Amino acid sequence: MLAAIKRRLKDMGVLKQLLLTAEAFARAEGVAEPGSEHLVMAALTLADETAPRAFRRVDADPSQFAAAVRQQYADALRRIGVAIVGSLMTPDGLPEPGENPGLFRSQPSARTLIRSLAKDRPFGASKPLLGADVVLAALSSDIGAVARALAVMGVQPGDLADACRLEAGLYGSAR
Amino acid sequence: MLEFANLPNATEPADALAAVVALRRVADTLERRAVAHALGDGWTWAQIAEALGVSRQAAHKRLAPLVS
Repeated sequence: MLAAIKRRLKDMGVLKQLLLTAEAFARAEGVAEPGSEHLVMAALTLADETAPRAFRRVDADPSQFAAAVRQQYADALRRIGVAIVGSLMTPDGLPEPGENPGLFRSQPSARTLIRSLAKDRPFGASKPLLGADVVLAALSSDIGAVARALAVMGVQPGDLADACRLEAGLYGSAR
Repeated sequence: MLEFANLPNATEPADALAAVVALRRVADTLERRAVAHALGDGWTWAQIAEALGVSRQAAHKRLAPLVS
């Protein structure tokens, strides 16, 4: 029981770090509220490193995920004949929005991801909350910025999900 | 009226909706940048709101946290 409480407290710390990092990624893009793509970006920075390991297992460079998110927006615009020249699709030259006061605010895609994380992690879960868990939760939707960015990277969501489960299972064991 | 070279077919909602999201992102970025410049140039929130076609309160509430 005590171990479960300690793990839950640690999970809350990881979740707080995840949300704050996601907010920072969103603000850097000039977006007031983070979406699920920003939570994936944040997951890729967590100290457990299971998320970037999962990406590398499917031959994808995790450092290219943010660029792939921007690329899928540019691709979507190009398909309707709109070419964005300059920095309107990038954070360059923009003042970052101020921090959100008070409660964490997010886009619906991020709220769905967080709900999914909570639903799939019963009290007393044997493993701590990991970056791979966040990516796996993001993969539960096959539409939206995350799915389209992975398509830009040539990543099959099912393969990445398998890699996330594998990395989460291996976490803490001798490699 | 804006004319687009290749509006997505309605039978391809995923592409069309992705384009809508991308357009909103571009519009939000352009708006935020323009408001920041306007404030820097001495515009009041009342003037910015008039240019955007919204109330001063609405403009300030939504945009002030993004440009301050």
